[in-house]
Amino acid sequence: MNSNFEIRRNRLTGTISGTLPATAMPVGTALMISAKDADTGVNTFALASGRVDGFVTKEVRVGVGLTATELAYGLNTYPSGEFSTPYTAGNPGSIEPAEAIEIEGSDYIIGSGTGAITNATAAETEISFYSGKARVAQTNDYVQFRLAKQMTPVNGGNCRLYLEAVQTYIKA
Amino acid sequence: MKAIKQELDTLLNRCLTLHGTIHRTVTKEDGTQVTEIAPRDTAVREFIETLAKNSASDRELADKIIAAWDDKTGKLQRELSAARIEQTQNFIASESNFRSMFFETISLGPEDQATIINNTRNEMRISEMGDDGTPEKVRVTTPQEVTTVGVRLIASDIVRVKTLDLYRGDVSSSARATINTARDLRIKIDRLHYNLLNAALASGGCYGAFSYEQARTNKATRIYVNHSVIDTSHLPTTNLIVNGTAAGGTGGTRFTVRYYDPVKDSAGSATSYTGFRQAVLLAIIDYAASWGDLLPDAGDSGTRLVPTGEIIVPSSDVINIALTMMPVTNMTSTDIQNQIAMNGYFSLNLLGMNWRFIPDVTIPAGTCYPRFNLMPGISFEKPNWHREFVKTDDIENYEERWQRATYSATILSQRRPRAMKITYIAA
Repeated sequence: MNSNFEIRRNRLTGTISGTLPATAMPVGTALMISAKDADTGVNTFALASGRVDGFVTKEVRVGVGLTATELAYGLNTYPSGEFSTPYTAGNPGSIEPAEAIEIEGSDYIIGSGTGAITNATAAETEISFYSGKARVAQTNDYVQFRLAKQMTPVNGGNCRLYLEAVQTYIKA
Repeated sequence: MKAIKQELDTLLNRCLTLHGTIHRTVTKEDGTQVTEIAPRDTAVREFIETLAKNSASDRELADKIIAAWDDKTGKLQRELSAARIEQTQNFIASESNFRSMFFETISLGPEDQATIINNTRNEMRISEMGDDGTPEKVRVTTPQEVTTVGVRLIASDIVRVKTLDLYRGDVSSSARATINTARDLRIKIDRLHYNLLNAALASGGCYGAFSYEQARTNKATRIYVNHSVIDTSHLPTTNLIVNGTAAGGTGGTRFTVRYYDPVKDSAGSATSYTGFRQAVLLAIIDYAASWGDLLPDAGDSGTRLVPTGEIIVPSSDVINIALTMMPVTNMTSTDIQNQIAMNGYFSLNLLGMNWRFIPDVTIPAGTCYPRFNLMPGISFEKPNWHREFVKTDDIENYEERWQRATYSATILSQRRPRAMKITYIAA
């Protein structure tokens, strides 16, 4: 039953609400609080870059509710396999901090370019996030996770990582 | 009447909102066919007519409307929708029953700790004496071995499902419908028992040569301690039976699967030196009979080991026993061949036994497990620890569920003879 994003251990602090970015993204995309309204305290989220505050709890789509096709066929799920109606991009949503996550595939892992993570990336590698995806921590990134273990991917050819939270520090 | 129509309109409107608008194919004046969205009034009339045609009575009709209104899974609403959706799924699971077939189950209280005490008995020396004499004396000692059986806790993953969807309401039942934690826990516990049966002898497994224990200094830890009158050459030396080889000759080597199957083909040649075959059944009967009536740990006077006739066989292997016995062209058929031809090959009346072959899709090909009247293993459980946990959070609108159970099992050396594992293909 393993999907490409699993929170294996929650953090007890609970979810954080805020305004989602105006782009579509899959469930579990890493987000950070990019701004907070000085009067209302409402958070604004952006794709995690250099820092992560949590992982979005549902898929985010542009446009409200389910599509006409999904409605017409009355299914309880839609193609991504989730059971809930996705968030609307730009509307309020929630992110969930985590102590341990398991991620697989290009939706969650940067596999090429700066900080690319591959099947050969060693355990204990420092991990940060960029554009909502995990990568090898770069200078001045907040290191919040470490690569605990390369897991067996659900889909062959993918990279599946078990990341565990560490005491946050800035990579020199 | 107006109130009822409004009620039905609202119901249909909900159906339409959830499932899209109804499309219909119409033929235009020029003969072309187009698909258009049916007007809502047309959809309402069609909905009512469809519902009424399918109902035998007003009460049944009313019940259908109420059930569809309350149905949160959408199944009944789908049945009322113009689009006929049939759902399927492709997940397959299989249960096997090694725990119930090979382990005696004992329930423990929450404070009980399972402990096994192995005792052995003593033989009294009997000798002649003079009519005015007295025999020599002997002191009684009883070698003993005490073993504590460990208990472990196993648990499922925590399944987390959302309970509130702003558009769809409570979606948790749909998510829970895709999992069966109790089944998976049950299968896992059975697998742990199967793994213990097949573990190495040094790890507490069941199958292997009896010499592993027989050389021990502490008699209480041996498979058996025999009375001096017993000729131990009759007794089986192992319960791990492997396929025989040609070197064993047509008579076969004891406690292997006879290489040459007694059934011969039309040319009079011995056949079927590999595969699940009659020679496997012979090996089972030979093994059980070789113990006579003195199976260890079965009472002072011993008990006979009797095959039940049930054999767990890899599902793809069972057919081989039929292939070895099916009539060959122009050959006079035998009773057994007639039996297979008439009744199939999953049960046979052969060698004085009613055999039943239980196909299993969870074990590797080439090995089968016969059942006897006695079980080799003991499985302890602590029911007080078996629980399902449900945590509901109405603030963040999620539910978490998981189950746990205990696992504790052992196979006593003295009870290893009660089981056999037979490999009927070449190693």
